[in-house]
Amino acid sequence: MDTKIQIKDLSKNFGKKQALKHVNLEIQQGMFGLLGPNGAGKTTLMKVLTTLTKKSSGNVTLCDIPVEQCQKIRQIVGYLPQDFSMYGNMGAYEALDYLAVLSGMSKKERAKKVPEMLEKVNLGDQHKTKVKAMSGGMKRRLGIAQAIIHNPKIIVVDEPTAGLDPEERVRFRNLLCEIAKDRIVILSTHIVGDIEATCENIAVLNCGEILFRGTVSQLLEAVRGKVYTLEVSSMELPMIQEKFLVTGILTNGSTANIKIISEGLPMKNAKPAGPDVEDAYMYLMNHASVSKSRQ
Amino acid sequence: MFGTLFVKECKQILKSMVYYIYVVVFILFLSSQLSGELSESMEQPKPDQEGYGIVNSHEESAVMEKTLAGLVLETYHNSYATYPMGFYKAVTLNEAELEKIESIIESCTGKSWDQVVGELEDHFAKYNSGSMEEAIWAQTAYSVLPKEELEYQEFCEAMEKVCKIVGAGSAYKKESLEAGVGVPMTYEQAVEEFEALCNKDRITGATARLFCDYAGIILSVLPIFLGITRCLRDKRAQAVQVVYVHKSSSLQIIGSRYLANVCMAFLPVVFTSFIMQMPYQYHAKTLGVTPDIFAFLKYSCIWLLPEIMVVLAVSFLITESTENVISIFVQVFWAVASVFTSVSLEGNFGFQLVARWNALGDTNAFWMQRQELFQNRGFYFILSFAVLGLTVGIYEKKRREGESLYGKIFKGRK
Repeated sequence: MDTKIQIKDLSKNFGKKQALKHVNLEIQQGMFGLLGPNGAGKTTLMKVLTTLTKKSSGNVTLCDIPVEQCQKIRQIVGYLPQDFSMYGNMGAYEALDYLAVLSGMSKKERAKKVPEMLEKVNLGDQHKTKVKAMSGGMKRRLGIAQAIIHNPKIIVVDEPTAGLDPEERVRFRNLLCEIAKDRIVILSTHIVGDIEATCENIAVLNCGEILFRGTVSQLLEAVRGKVYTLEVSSMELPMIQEKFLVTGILTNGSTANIKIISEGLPMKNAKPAGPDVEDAYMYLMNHASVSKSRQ
Repeated sequence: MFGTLFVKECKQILKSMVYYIYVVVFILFLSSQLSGELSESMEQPKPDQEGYGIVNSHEESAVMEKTLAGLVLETYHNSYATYPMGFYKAVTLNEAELEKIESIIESCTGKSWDQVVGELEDHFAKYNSGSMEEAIWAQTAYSVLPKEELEYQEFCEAMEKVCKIVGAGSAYKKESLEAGVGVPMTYEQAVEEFEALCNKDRITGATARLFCDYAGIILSVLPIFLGITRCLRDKRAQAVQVVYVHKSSSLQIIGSRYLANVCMAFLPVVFTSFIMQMPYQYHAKTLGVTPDIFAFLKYSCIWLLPEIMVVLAVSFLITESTENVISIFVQVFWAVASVFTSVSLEGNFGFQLVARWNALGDTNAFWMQRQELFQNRGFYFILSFAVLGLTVGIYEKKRREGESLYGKIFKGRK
């Protein structure tokens, strides 16, 4: 059984609205980032992969198993939804044990794996803490523990770092990288920093369409030589924002250090700068909206 | 997996406030209805007693006498008790309508209305109107003889005319006449009843029936809240998706939740019935009768368990389909309608959700209708599985399509 996901010509309609339009993707073992703005169709794609919603057309196989075979797919997939929570009156151990039962694990397996997973996600000391008393970060960690407890081949995490403090975010990213060693982890997010820090392979989704698929270096290549920094007066800022794609502004009294993307040298005092994934992503999104408005 | 899920669900129910409210309301309701008076009507009848209670009679002459007595009394007061939608409504007639009723009474009795009223006033004058007990006896003993040549069929037709004037849900409708009437019991009948009570019911059987009668009323409503609480729990905890994506089948998830709720809802019933049967066991022994110590359990299992099962199953179905609390309104209406549309408080089980036997005894009458009760409960037992199957189907559909039926309807209206 190959650890890979194949998505061919996938479409999903909700009434008249087309949430996914002829999506084609192949995802191999390791971390895979799915980037896109809110409403791009990321969650819909995640839901199709986790059997939570039916596709309208196309073919999707996970480790060679067609997505229609729900029971089999559920055995090989772990899912951390965007707003993960559990019954408030359950403790961390109890909640994880309950979900492990739902995964079909025996008593013996659970007795071994539940404490092990809680340790892994740093909840070992708080195994009695009630879910309702947990912070956002603790809940996410519990969420990832339930997603991996049955040792799935594929883990899907939807916006896992939204609302976490920077420290929790870094810890969570590291945890994801650790568990992605021998399986596929799909990280769906609109936070570019998360993708930059964890994924080598990515796809960018917008309005239900794949805008880009490839490696982070390939994405950066698209914008290389087009990123500039320059210092402008605050008065000039609105005019520059209208003319160029501004990806960063650092105001300093009456002046501002800005980062812009331009096909050529935008101004005399502009200096070329190294691109980051955020620049590339913004360039891509801007390019897409311009092409759309031309159509 | 099913067993483990079942145990975990039971533990969760034990942690729920709704469950403790369920237990408290159930016990309070029963203790308010069943305390004290039970053993008084379970004594050996003596020949010189003032009365021996009431027995239901289907004899045509008794039905005519008692129905006419009721009609005369209601016409005299111009206040007719009706239950058009299961709820009580007092109907007052106008002059013309009253005249029509009086003429029906005259044609049935062969006497003038004034004569009938005179007899009524003479009868009630013999009793002390200040005493509640005497007033009840006066009413029990009051009857109006139909004229000799009046055929039963003719009488039924006359009552049909009364129904048309008084309106729906009166005591003169065909079903009420078929349910029989209460007539005073004779000493011989009382002895026969007592023997049946001792031999067939072994005392505890009769008290178990009364327990089931009262418990059945409250159990037509209370389990709804357990069902709703369980079904909405995933949504409230934002755990819907995380439960959906796990390997367990919908049958295992819904089945374990349902079974846990049925067992936990039935637990206080068994416990309460066990406690409440104790004095009656003692009472049976004082009468020299060996009590049936499992009567409460047997009656609870046959009478109340199918009711709990179907109420919970319907609650699961509606709540899983709609993901809101609409089930409360639907099922309370069903329960109230069942209680108020009962033709009689004893038997006539039909397909009523709430099976009534509001009598301590009437053993022979019950044993004659036992089969009908078994059919009724059997129907609900099977129905609960059918409804549960439907719920599992809907849950599986939601799991695959990520949307509730209600959500689809709501979207469609936008």
